[in-house]
Parts: sequence; C-alpha cells; structure tokens
Amino acid sequence: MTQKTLIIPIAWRSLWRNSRRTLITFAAIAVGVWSMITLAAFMDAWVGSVVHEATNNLTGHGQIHQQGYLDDPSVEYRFSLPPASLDEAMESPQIKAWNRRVRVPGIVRSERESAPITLIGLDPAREVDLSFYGNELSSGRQPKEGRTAEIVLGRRLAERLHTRIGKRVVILSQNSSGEIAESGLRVVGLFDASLEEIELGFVFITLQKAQSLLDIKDAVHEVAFTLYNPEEVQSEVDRLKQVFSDLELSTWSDLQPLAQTMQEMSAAMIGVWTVIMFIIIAFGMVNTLLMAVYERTREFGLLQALGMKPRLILSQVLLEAAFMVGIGVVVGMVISILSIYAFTDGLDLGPLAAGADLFGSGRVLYPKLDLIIIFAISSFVWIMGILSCLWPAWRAARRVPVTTINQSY
Amino acid sequence: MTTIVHCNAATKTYGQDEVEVHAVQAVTVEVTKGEFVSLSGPSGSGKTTLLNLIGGLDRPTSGEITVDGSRVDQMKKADLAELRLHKIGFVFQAYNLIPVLSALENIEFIMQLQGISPDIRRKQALSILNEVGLEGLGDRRPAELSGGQQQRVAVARAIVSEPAIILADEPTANLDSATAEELLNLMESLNRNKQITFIVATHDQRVIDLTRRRIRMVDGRIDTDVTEAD
Repeated sequence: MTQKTLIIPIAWRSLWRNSRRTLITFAAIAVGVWSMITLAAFMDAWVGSVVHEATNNLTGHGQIHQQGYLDDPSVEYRFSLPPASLDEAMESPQIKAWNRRVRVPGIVRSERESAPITLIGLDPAREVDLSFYGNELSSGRQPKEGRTAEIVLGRRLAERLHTRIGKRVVILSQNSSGEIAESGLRVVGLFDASLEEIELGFVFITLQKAQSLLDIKDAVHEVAFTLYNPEEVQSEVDRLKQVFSDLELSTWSDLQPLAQTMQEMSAAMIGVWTVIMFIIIAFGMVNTLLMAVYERTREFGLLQALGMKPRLILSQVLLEAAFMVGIGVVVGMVISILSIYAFTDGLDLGPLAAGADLFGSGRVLYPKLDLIIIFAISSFVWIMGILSCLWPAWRAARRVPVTTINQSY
Repeated sequence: MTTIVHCNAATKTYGQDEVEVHAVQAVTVEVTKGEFVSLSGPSGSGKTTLLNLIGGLDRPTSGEITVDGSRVDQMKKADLAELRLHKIGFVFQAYNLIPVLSALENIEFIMQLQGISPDIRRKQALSILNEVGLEGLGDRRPAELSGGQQQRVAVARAIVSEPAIILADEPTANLDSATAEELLNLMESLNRNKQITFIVATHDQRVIDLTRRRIRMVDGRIDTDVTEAD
C-alpha cells in the first residue's frame, strides 16, 4: 500500500513540470471529448427528429395494408375487417393509439388552380398520439362527423390553390369501379406541418365521406398504430401478423427506409468520429508522455538504482497518463454537458432548415443529455488513453540504471 | 570481520570483437564491514564501472560479485532492485535527487519503498536531516537547495535505511572545497560512529587521504591496495 501511494505524488507533480505542455494536452483531450459527446448528442437529436417526423407524419410505428398497396397505393388495394375483430386485435397493452384510414391519390381543384394530392379519410379524434393531425388545426375546425362535404387543407396548399376557409374546392379520384369520383367540398380548416411536402400533399376529409366518395362501403386502405415503447415494434408487428395473416404488416423503418438509413448512418458516423478523435488524442498523449519519459531518462534510472521495481515505474507513468486523460475527460464532459444543456430548448436550424427538410428532419433539433452516452464515451477515451500510454511507460520501466544514471543532458 | 563485498575475478567488457573495451579485468577484492575504502585512478581506469558492478547497476561479463551474502551477478532485475533497496545506498556525482519531491520526501523515499509506516519514516527522516545539518530545509525542493545541500540530502537518503554499504561515485566533484570538506567530515563521522561501510570512487586527493583503505586502479585492474594502520 505504501509503495503504491508513493507514486501518486510523484505522478501528480510530474504532470506540472512542464505545465504549458500539460495544459495543451488537457485542452486537446477536452476538445476531443467535447466534440465526441456533442456530436453524438446532436446526431442523436437529428436522427430523433428524422424518426419523429417520419412516424408523426401519418406513418406511426407500424401499419397494416392490403397486399400490394404499398407498391400501388390505389383504391383497389383496400381491405375490410369486422370492427369487432379489429378492435380485439388492436386491444393490446403495447398499443398507444390506432386509426383506420382511407388513403388514395387524387387531385384537388380550386377556382383557379389544381394540384395532385393524397386524399385521406379518417376520424380526426383518433389521430391524437398517432400523428400530427391529432393536434389542433392552425385555423378553422375539423369536418363534422358523417358524410359531410367538408375538407381540411395544408396552409401552403391553400395558398398555392389561392383558396381559403369558407371557399369550395373539388376533389377528384378513382372510385372502386375505376371511374372518376368527384365531389365539391368546403374548406373548413387549415393545418401546419413541419415538412413542406406534407402541407402541400395531403388533404383530409371524414372516413365516411371518403368511403362514400370512393364507393368502398366500410373498407379502408390502412390501419396505423403507435406504441408506448417504439423499441417493441417488431414484436408487435409479428403478433399482428398472426392475426391478420392475409394482410401486409410493416414497421416504420419498412415504410420510411430513409429514416432507418439515417439512424444507421448516424451510429456509424458517431463511431467513426469517435475513433478519429481518439486516434488524434492518442497520438498527442503518446507524444507528450514519450517526451516526458525522454526528458526524465536519468530519473527513471535513478528510481531503479534506489530500488524501485520496474513494474512500479510502469505504474507511475500510467498513473500520470490516468491523471492527464482523466482531467481532460472531466473538463470535456463538463463543457459538453453545458453545450448540450444550452440547446435543450431546441436548436433552430434557421437557414439550414430547407436542407434539413430534404433529409426528413424537423427545423428544430432537441439534443438530450444522455448520461449513458456521456459516461460511455468518457470511459472509452479514459481507458484507451491509458492503454495507449503503455508503450512510453514500458520504455521508462526498462531503462537500465547504469546507462541512464550517469547520463547528462 | 564480516565480509560485505566480495569480488572474485570480476570482469566487465564493453563492445565486441575488434572494439572491445576491458573496463574491469579480473578484479578480486574483499571489503569488510565498517571499512572506508577509496577507489582512485585515472579516468577510464574502471573505478566507476567496478562501483556499478558492486551496486548491481551493471552486470559483470564474467566473475562473481557478492554483496552481503547475495550473488549480485546472478540476480534478476527485480531482485537486484530489492537488494539495492535494502542493502545498498548510493551517492552520485550529480546528486540525483527526485526533483518533484522535497528534501524530506527524498529522504523518506527509500523508507516508503521499504514499506515503513509514515510516522516512523517521518521521524527518522527528520532526525537524519538534522544529522546532515539541514534542519529547517526539509520542505525545499532540490532546485531550491545549493549543490552542497543537495549532496547532503543524497547522503541522508543513502544512510537513512541503514544499508550494508554506501557506494559513492565522485561525491565531491561538483562541490566547492569548503562544502566538499563538510561532506567528507560527515561521511567520515558516519563511518566512524555508525560503522557504515563506504566505497568511494574519486579523483579527489582529500577523499583519498581521508580513507583508511586506498585502492588504486589502472586499466581496469587493481594496481595498489593499501590499508592504513590505525
């Protein structure tokens, strides 16, 4: 015990022999750790945003479709289930919210313009906790229940069509007989969405109105659902596959492969960045310690001459490394936590928002303080930093006293 | 008389083939407890090499070296460290104190390696510090001490654990004559009063005159070995 405590003051004080060099090394380690942790937090926020946008924009965590619908989302790929059997299947403790939807391509025409859209018929009350459409509209109201001739448009679509609440638009789509179905509807509400393509591309009417328009009785095109724990989506989809063996069950990552790819890319990027930063840190560490060992060649010879065993000298140099990396890591952690904390209310991407939109991300990122990630990255750097110093430590320990003790410099 | 050091045909050769240097050649010598021995001779005569061989800082090419009953030439690195820790004290020409430790901590260092408890080693270190005339300077780092004071700390560090022998290599070489005189008096008194065995490699005639046994080396061999009668 005494021998081990002996090396603590020597290691600590040795750090400060060349305080400028030590401080530069601390700074390099701290910046490296800060960049790793902060990048991980922002990448996580980015992916979280992409996944949130992907799932919140009508995808949910999973969906049920007729076989073939995803390849050709037309009116014919519909399905009809007895309400009791659907209710029973979706009555799961895992499922947070679910809804039936009619979803077909169509055209909306105002007095002055027309635009291609996706026509969605649904019960808006059931969209709470399922999609952005469960939130309050930005203006106006939801269509009244039943087969009411009322419609909700995206704000930007309304602008493009030069229409507004109270005006009439015409919807055209193909009905179950393959003929053009047409209906005049009054605009009663406008919605805002985080993605421009959603505001421009979707219009909402009641489920009954859509079924009546397309002449599909009580059939629907999709059932979407969200879970309390999104991690369990695959097991829930597998369960539903047993129930609805004739239908196609998909997870959000099947439906939004870009979001899934972003998630995988992000993990890979964090990994690559961590390795790059670590290599830079390791070179700095090894260089600093090699210099320190070289400058103290005679001292290590002296320690051995006085009776210090080589393994204790090795421990002393490694302890210096542990102090050096440890302090750099702690400083890096603190700066990272402060940096992330400063943006927990959201980082508005501002002028970059249009670019972010292309990748399916929202305009505001919300980085989170993930203590597990912070601890994991810090521990990794600390342990690997110490291990990278094994070489200089070994060099110090194998000095032959006689060749070093009489050395002058 | 107890034999502390025994060299039997100890030889140290550096280099190989055509560029071989015979630093120490078949030296046979015995040093007993309480002796104060000087190793003198011209530069390159092998006195420092012999000192290093006895101290286990270097290994002989051939021959046997025994220190306090242990065969130094056959020991492993870690065992040699153990032997130096418990049985040999070193005083070097360049003081060789640990720069990040205070004078007192430098003296305590050996005892700490030996595993002596903090209270005892602090008490012992303070006592030795006073003995070498450095009372009140224990908190100073080596850089804050003069050359003579540093060498006194080195001597204190060498004697504090009461080793079987102290090996000193040119201990007065970097000191002015007054400081060298003080150091010699200190070593002489330690030898006389505590029966500590000293082997001192030196060019300094004052040191040679002070010692009772004078070994002169030439070309790696013992040229003369004279012991002064009491």
